[in-house]
Amino acid sequence: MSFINDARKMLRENIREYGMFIALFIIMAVFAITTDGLFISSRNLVNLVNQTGYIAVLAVGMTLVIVIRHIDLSVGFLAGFLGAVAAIAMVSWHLPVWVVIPMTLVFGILGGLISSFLVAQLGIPAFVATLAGWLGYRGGLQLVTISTGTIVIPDEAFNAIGNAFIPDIPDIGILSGIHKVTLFLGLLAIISFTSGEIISRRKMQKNHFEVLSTGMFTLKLVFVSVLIGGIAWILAGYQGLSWTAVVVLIVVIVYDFITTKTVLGRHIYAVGGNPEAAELSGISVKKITHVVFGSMGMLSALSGILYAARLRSATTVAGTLFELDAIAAAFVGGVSAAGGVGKVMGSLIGALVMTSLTSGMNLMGIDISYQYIVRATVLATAVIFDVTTRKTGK
Amino acid sequence: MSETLLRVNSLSKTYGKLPVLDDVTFEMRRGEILGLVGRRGTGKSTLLHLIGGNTQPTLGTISFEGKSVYFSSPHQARRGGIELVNQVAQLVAHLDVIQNIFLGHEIALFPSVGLPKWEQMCETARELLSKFDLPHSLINHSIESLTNEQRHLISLLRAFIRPARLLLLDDILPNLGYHRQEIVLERVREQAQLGLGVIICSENLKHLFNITDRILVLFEGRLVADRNTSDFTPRDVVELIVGASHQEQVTPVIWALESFHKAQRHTEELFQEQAQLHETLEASDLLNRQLIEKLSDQVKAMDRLNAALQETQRRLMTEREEERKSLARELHDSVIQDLLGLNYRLEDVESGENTDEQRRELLAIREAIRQVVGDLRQLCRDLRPPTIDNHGLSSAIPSLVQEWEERTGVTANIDIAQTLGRLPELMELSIFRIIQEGLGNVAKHANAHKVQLTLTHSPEGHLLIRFADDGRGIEVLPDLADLSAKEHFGLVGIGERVALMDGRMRIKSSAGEGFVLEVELPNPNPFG
Repeated sequence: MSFINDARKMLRENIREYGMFIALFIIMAVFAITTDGLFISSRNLVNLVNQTGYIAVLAVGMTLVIVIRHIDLSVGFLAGFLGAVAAIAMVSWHLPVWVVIPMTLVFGILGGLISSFLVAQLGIPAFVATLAGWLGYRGGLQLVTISTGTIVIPDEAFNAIGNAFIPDIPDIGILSGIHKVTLFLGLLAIISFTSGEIISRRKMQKNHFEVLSTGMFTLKLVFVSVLIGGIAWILAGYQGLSWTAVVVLIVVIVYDFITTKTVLGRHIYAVGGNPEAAELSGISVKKITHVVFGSMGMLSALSGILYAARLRSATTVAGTLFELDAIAAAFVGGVSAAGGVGKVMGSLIGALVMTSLTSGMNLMGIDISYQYIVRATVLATAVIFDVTTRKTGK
Repeated sequence: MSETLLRVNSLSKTYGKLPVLDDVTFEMRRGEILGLVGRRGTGKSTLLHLIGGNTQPTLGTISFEGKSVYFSSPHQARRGGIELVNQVAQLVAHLDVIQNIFLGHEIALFPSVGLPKWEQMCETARELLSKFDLPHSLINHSIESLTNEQRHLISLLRAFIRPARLLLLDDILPNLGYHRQEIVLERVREQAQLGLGVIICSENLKHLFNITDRILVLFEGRLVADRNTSDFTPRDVVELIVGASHQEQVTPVIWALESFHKAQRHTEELFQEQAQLHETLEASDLLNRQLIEKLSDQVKAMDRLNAALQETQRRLMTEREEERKSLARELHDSVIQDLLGLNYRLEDVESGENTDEQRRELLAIREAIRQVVGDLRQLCRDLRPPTIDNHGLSSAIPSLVQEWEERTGVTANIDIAQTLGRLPELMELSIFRIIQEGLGNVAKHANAHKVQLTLTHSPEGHLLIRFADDGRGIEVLPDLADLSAKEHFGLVGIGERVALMDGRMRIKSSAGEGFVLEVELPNPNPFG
């Protein structure tokens, strides 16, 4: 009895958090059935992850921007522009790839700081400042590609980021035909997740914070472990983990760590929750704004690199509407427009939900116009859900 | 400790064209507590906000710890060691209490970026909470679950967690209860003894005279006085605050201020008393409720007893009637038959060969026996009117009355409603008995010539029995209890029967005017 009560309590208190997991699960199950299992095949899932990659990276950055009550519309064309810059650096300037990537990321940070300078220092509303960025970077992208048109990237190392998979150890006789490194990484992820959760739970108990009951906690660990294990198994059955997935995972883990475990993360949420109080308690709201927009710019550059690598080229329209996809993913992932609320992990799930919808409906052969309507419905439902649970819940 | 902590030099602030502060200059030392007073809108808060970096001066400079400083935002002032506690509690609702207390000053592995040390923070926070008489458990609470006073205290606690050198308190005390105000002032004094400079802005002169070393008075944006507290009297301060030295202007203000503070403290005491009273009231309320419950239990028990008593009486009456009936039958069937048998035998004897003497004797005996039989028949009728079982009240009453008329020689008029119909047996019998008793009364006491007897329905549908005689009446209306003591059982018997049937009895009479008895009985079948 008490177990069911625990489950109910947990669901009620964390419905906002678990809501999108449930949504993702339902969407995947529906597509798995309607496409006769094609949707959850190894090949399609790998494809899905690679497609989600460049949007997920933007959504992570956008989460923080929305948390501090701003918006960044410039990220799509900044990504496209920087992808083109990276391509030119390799093709025309003949720079090696290990120089090009850090350089592009630094350009991204600079682009973000331009936005934050307008927003924080000059007090221009973020919507207007980044709309200017949207126009400017679009112009920049067309300018640098005007003479060449689409720039084809010949560098295989660079293209691998968007297309290749992590290498496997040579065949050792067992598990042949299965990607062993992927399996090993999955196992590592399960172990580190479980031990991390147990340690943090002990700490919370020691300081008398409320924790999940033992039953629910075990269930959660088992559920997540099975999920990670299952995904690792499916991916290992094809070609293993793609480099894009690795990049996204690293970004998500790093940002999740920063937002939940560090002082900087606290300050970001404090600035979002009550900027005045944060400023009065000695937090520099300007500094936080610079950090958040700077990181957004860097992630835009990363997104541009992922996209260019995936297409093996820099196109003249790269980055179109990325910003809106990223914003939609963040909102579906539970970020609140009122500020101060939203998780990086949620936005990753949000991005997966949105890409799954596209991919699944493509497999089903649904007309593009209907696809947009379905995605609109999902986005609206997510925000309505967010608003209503905020009203009733605490 | 005589080192200068803060020097404010010709500080001015204008909002648009409106001057708020005008050329304010003062100094303060480490460990000094400065009071800042003035009317509303004289720039007290503005002065604190300028020093705390919330706003920037239009003219003038601030130097802190010997260096000239310019704070373009509050967080720079915080970094510089100046803490400002606002009138409005500034908290982040999404974070819990401990995160709010340490916000902007977390204890962390790598300061400003790094990993927070929660255990150390929790410990420090607990210590601080107990210093301010707040429960430890508060640290995990969300801001939404706090009371208003607690929010202000948490906002204040933040200032105590940092190694500030100057603490600016902008009129925070009115948000706290009296008890907490004392605690806060005590903590402020402790910190000042350790070298913290404090500027406290308040409208409560009593607090200021208690705690400050020096008092600054602002009047319309200008600093009009800067003196040691010991050189001031409350009266001086009030004069400066209102900007007048006229006796007739100042006295009422002082009086008002004093009575205001007195009233404030009084309110606090009353508030506590009220809380106590409330508790007592609740306890006595509980007691009352228990008493009422008991009482209602007893009343219910009485009701039950009463009902049982009535039931017993009703049964008694039924049984009596049954007994009478069987007695009447017994008399009629055996005694009277025996007597009649004897009479026949005497007749036989009489028709035999007898002397005239004997025949006369026998005739006399037979006559006597007939008399006895007649008497017995009368007795039987009284015991159980034979007509009532077969034909109901509408024929039993006339025969009763006719017989009564013959016996007493009083004329009786009867008026029985045609619609009466048959009633339950017990009720018919009761009515019959009532009429019997009533007529008996008339015969015995009234000395009447005529009786009017009415049996009808009242307009409300009740049964109505009415006797009216033209006898001598009575002077004082009788009390039933009296009557039973004087052994007038006639009216008492009627009264008892009426009560058993939930009816009502009324008597109207006066001397020489006759006697009227009215009995109203609820109709057992009101729709019949």
